[in-house]
Amino acid sequence: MKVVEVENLKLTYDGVRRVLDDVSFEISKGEFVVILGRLGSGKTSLLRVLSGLIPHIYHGKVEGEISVCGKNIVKVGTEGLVGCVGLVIDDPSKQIFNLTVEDDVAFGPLNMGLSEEEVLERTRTAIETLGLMGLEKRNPKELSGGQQQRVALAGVFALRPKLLLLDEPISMLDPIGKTEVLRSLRKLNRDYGVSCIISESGNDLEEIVEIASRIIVLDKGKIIADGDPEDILSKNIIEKLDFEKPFRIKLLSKIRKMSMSLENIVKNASASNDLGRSEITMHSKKEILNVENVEYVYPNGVLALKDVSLNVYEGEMLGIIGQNGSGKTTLALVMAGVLVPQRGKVRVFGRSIIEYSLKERIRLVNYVFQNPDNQLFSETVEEEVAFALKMLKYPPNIISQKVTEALRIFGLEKYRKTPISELTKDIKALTSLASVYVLEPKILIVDEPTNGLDYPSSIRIMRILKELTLKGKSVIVISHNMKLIHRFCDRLVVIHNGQVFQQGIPGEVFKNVSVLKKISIKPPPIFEVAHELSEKLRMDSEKVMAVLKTIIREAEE
Amino acid sequence: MPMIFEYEPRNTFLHNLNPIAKVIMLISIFIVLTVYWDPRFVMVIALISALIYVVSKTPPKWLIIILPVAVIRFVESLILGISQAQGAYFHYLSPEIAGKVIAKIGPITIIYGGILWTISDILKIISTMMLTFSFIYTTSLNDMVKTLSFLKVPRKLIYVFVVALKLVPDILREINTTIIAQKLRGWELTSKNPAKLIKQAAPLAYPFLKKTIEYVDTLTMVAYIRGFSVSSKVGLKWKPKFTISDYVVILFSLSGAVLSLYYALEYGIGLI
Repeated sequence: MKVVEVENLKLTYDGVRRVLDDVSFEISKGEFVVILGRLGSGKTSLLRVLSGLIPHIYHGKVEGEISVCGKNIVKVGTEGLVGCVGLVIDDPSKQIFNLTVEDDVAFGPLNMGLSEEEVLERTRTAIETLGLMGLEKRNPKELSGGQQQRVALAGVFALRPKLLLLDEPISMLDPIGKTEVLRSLRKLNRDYGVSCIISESGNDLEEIVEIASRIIVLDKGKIIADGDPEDILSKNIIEKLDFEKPFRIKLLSKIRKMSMSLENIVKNASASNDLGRSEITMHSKKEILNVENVEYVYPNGVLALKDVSLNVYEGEMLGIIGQNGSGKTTLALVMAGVLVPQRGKVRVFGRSIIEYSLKERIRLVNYVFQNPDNQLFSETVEEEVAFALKMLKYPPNIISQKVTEALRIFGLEKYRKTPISELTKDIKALTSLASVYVLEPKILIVDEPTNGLDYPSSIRIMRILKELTLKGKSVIVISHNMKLIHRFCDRLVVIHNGQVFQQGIPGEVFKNVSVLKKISIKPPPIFEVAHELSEKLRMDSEKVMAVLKTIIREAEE
Repeated sequence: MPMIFEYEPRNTFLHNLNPIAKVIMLISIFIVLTVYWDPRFVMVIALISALIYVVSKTPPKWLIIILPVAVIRFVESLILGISQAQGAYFHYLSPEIAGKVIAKIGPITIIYGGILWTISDILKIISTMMLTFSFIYTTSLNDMVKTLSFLKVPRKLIYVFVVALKLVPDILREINTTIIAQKLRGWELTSKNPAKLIKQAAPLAYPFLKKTIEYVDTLTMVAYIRGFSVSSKVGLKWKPKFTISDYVVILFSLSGAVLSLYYALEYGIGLI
């Protein structure tokens, strides 16, 4: 049975901008389809068309035949699709209306005008199916990111859709949150036969591909590949989009080539090679920021930070990781002097941060918010980057010089006069970074810089941040993307329940797989596989890691 | 932490009350408030409103935050009551008492009746705010939708209400974050001169407006995907369930309102 039938779909915005071009595909009941593509490839637009939001809520000229659950979406609109299509967006906080879990799950069925008994039955089933029992009376805002997204999913599932459309639903979640949500999606798909279409920009491909039954690759509004995940990923299609192949796929292709089990490959390689131990570089640089026994309690009594102590060194890239709500952002705001701790001290160059004036402070430590829209206010990129300098009353010639330099560093020269409203997500993220960097703070704290971006844009941003450390700046990155943290950071601090759980070199921290899992941290897949193998083969995990790295390097070559 | 104008699930008498009982109670008090002008009677209603505010545990901060709006209304009442009132406007106070001159400031003559009107008007404003805030703080969005649908309020109005109740706290949160973000770029409201303050706030005013409109757009989309369609003729198959407390509140509110109206209209009690 076909749930979706799309034939020669063309979508044009403003009469000129073609975002989907000749898109044709069909989706059967129970399929789990990933729409893979870079930012601006047309993924979100496609989901909005399938949900009836375009052209009924958002403007856009739709051509072609689009049928969902046997209904022509152009004719029936969003109202005709209630109970057939459910849409989940990336940010659960926007999708959640109510202040208790059960109220929010009941919101949709209530709006459908169902009887009280049916509303209650659907609410109960959705809560049970999404594993939210025990949280019914809780305020969704106080839940972890993964739990919030499951509340959003439960709210949509309670409408009993045949098709779930998911617009990057795990992009804002911590690794365990991602796993929780994907597990729930798998359940809805397998146990209830709900067809799923999930859009993905490359950062979470590793996790999503494990439950997908099919991948459709979208590039510049056109389908360039459509098929079985393994087929698509083994070909060079995703490399053309500058995406990285999932670790497990690389490993699998190498194993197949060698016609040996992974265990044997690892055993042989470790016996024949002197693989050495992983490189450990210690930081012997100058300490510039010192957090000492900091405690922070929010006005509502929530203890966000408890006895936190850490140092930041000159020219290092420090990663801060932890579950949603673990206290990472609070710590960052305390380090930036925005929040004043009730106990303990934050010192920059030996002096308490609160002793500096605001104007001095923002040139020492500054913070870039997760959502660029909180920072971008001016008309054009150039004006935006100049904003802070104007506020500090720099002379015009200095402003011009500094703005030009900042635009060059962040690769924004060609967007100098571009209106902010016309920027893509990645350029917005770079502009918000440049608009703070222009003050040349010694320490730049960046909160989730790659959130909502595709893989190539994420790599680009992390490279630019890394380059800043080479110029002597210290960069603190808060992120859920463990692969990027592992690849780019010099040191790592793990925050759990408002406390420093661990700190050290990423390789050292991540190898404690089982310890990290207990606090809901999921290390990059290479560490997980190394951990599994070292336990199975009773080998040193570092040796296994070294072998795996060699295998992956060879597979890439 | 709840934002201003945001419901918070708690276990208070008002939270546990059926929303229809709450609406009847509020409407009853509002009717009495509209009719009464004698400050002594209005003061009693203000005290009842304050009691409701305290019992519902609505954060006192809400009243402080809306202080600027309240001050403007206060000034407006003062100007109207003090400068515009005339003895002839008062039907129940004797013209001598109502028109008794208390002071003369240039061309303005302050009369006793005007002072009474001003005090009552200010107390009415405070009471209305306290009651409305208590209602918002103790009533979940679902209960609002159920009640408004039960009262046969048009779907479009319910929709506006639902969006507004989500929009206000969310936008306030957004404004908080944005102000911190801009402070970190050297933006400050430093001047005590109102003209300079407006100039300093200007860079954020227009973008905030734009963001609010964009957010309304997102909320519209989200409301649709949560099954909330404006034009559909959804009849709510929901039967309200009342407890003894609800019946007591409804009975007390209705009889209070009827008796107050009767005495006010028949004997002029509570009027000036």
